[in-house]
Amino acid sequence: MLSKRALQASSACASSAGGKGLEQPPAAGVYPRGMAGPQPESQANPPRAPAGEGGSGPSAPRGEAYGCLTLERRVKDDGRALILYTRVSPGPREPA
Amino acid sequence: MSDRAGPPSPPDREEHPRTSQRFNELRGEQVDYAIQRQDRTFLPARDHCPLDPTRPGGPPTEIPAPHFEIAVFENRFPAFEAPLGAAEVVVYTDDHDASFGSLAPDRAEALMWVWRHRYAELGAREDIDYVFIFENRGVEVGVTLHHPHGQIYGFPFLPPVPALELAADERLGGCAPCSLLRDELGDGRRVVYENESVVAYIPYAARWAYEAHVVLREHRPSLLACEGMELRALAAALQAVVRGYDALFERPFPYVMAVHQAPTGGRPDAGHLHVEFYPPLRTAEKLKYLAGSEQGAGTFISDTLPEESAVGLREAIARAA
Repeated sequence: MLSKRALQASSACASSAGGKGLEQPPAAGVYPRGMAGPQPESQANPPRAPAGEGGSGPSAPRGEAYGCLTLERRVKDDGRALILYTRVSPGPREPA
Repeated sequence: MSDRAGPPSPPDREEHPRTSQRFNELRGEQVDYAIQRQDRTFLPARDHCPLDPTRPGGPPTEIPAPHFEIAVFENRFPAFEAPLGAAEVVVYTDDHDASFGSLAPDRAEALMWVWRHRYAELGAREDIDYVFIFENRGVEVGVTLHHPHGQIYGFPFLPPVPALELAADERLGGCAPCSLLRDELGDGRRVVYENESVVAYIPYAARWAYEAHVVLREHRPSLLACEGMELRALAAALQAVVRGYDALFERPFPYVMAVHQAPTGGRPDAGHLHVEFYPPLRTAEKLKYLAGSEQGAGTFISDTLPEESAVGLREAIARAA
């Protein structure tokens, strides 16, 4: 039932581009619904861990890239989705 | 899922969905019912924050990792959920004591990309007509977790406030935020911050004493239409406003931050990305309450003039820079 467009990383963080920013055109898909295309069933409906199973932790991570980010998709023990985002070229950590 | 007739049924979690909508005919608007939220975590002790990372030997949290930068997960107590909508939590940092304003600039910029990613992915779903990104900060606006975070609701319908903005486009014969931005820049008295891509101002007819709108100079319907430089400029502007808020009364400033952009369920030419802040404080110690006129008649009564508020906020933003 759900359709998702392929996520395209058409540009990157300005701060990771040497401070010059980006002169690339805006992302190709301004309106995600209009750009939505058929997706493999496995992407349209990510499998969820059955309730009560997988008690040892979330499912195996799957890496993706988006702009200046990498994202790691997980599925929590109760089946809820979790995404961890990391900057590709992270700056120094914020002071505690 | 909508129920337009009859009295409310007793909750039965086996037979009824956790979330549902009913159409309020008298007001012409949807009301969302999410009865499981009554049991949601409420101001837990600091060492039991569910948005902290899960540290070795510590209690399990929503994020099973000892460190993270930005995390997004499906809300355990959703206001909307598939197959009719979504509710996500966006955790800005693993530092419990940070805030949006205290994030390093590149972290704030990364957050814009996370928002953009979620807008794209949720907006592509057929059941979601509007992706609403927001942050509630402070117990004054109902925050139940102090860890810096925002939320995203995937509405299965176009909510009233974005619909009002689309109506303003029609009334003004074009993009309302573009028109209003021109007016504010022409007047100048209510502008509190500017950078190369973004302008922040207290609107001419602000409802809240320190309401601020942060608007892209160029017509960008959504985060997806922004160039990388604009996302960085947006992050800088939002942080400038929030830091200015904190400097205004020298205290953490409560607010609701609402990201408005193009609907995802049609109207592909509508919308202009901007962020609205609704802070309830009208002085350092006095809150604006929504009372008789606001709730019963729908008309805000303001105790302050936007031009005078703008002077104070503009100075506070400069002090905090």
